[in-house]
Amino acid sequence: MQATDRQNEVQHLIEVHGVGKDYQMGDSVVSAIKTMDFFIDDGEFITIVGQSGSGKSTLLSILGGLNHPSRGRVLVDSLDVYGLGSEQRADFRSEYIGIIFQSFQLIPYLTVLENVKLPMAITGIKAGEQDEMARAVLDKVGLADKVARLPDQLSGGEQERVAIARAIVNRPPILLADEPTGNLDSDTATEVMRILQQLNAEGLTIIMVTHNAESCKYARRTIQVKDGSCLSHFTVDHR
Amino acid sequence: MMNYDYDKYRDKRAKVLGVKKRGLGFGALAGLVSMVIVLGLGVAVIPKSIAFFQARHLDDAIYKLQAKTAWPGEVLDDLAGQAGVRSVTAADNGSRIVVTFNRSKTDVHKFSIFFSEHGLQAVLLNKMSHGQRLKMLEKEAHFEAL
Repeated sequence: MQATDRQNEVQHLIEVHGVGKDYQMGDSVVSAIKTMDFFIDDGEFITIVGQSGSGKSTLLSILGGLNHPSRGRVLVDSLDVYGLGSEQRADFRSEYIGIIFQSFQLIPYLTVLENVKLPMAITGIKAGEQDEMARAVLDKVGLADKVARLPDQLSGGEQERVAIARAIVNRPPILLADEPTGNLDSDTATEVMRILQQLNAEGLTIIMVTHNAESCKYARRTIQVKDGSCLSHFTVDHR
Repeated sequence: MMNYDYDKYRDKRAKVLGVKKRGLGFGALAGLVSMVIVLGLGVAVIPKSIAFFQARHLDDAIYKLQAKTAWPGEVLDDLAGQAGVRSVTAADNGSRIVVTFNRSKTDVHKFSIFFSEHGLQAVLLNKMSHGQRLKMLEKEAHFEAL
């Protein structure tokens, strides 16, 4: 079905319908995710919490178009993510998804500016414009004066901010964060969370996997995952 | 939180679905390069091919008069009107003529009879294909230019 056909039936930016993921472990099949159904609206800040091995990161990778589910459908902006061809899905990731990881995943021999420009290499954006866009997002995360440094010349918090800048430089509507504050001290983690909160206030939809209960207070809604199932959804009232 | 707006990310959706392409795709680029090569070869090869097919049945016969006098104009006009004769061209300050003819319709034997009938003692200096002679003329022009 084409995206235009879904216009009337889709109500949310992200819709997860009966998604499950099984892994073959020798002779047995392990369900990392049993069956999940939930929706995420445009501009929401969601945290996904749960114990190690509960399926949080698997769910995040499925939402990002990186991990084909064993069953079910993921609709993002009315696009059936896993109904797309591989090239279309690569375009989907480039256009819609920014990802930040706990371990930053910066290229050690590239400068801060070059790291941030990296996702634009396949977008066809002109070199001059790439430079301008990368500097603008680095300014937004407070690193305008460190563009020429290498990652190992930065603190952990600064490296995380470079990772955030790299994730949002293509202006994706959705940011996926896999334990972004897991390696940071509490002050630096708060600083990173405030940047994410600011980006969310500007309209970015954020889905963050975390172990940190403190981080959940920045989100409007928390999805608790246990043994591959959504145990509960609870909404935080910040008023 | 905002309600879902189907039109908000229309451009992104179009890019993913391939409705709006960024730049020139590999297929289009390969097609364009192929077309340039084919057209380039066409421009270089087709005129030569046409010239070859138009001249493939033509031969040139080169004559001079035994008496080393100029060729009478009315005889040349008469010769040019013979069946199978494409053209009669004066060369070498009028002392020689080149008769271009369709080898399937006439031949040098008939020209010999024609010249005898007009009381001319013509000597056949050479006979070759018309295309070969054109190539020779090109080479001569090239060497003269040097």
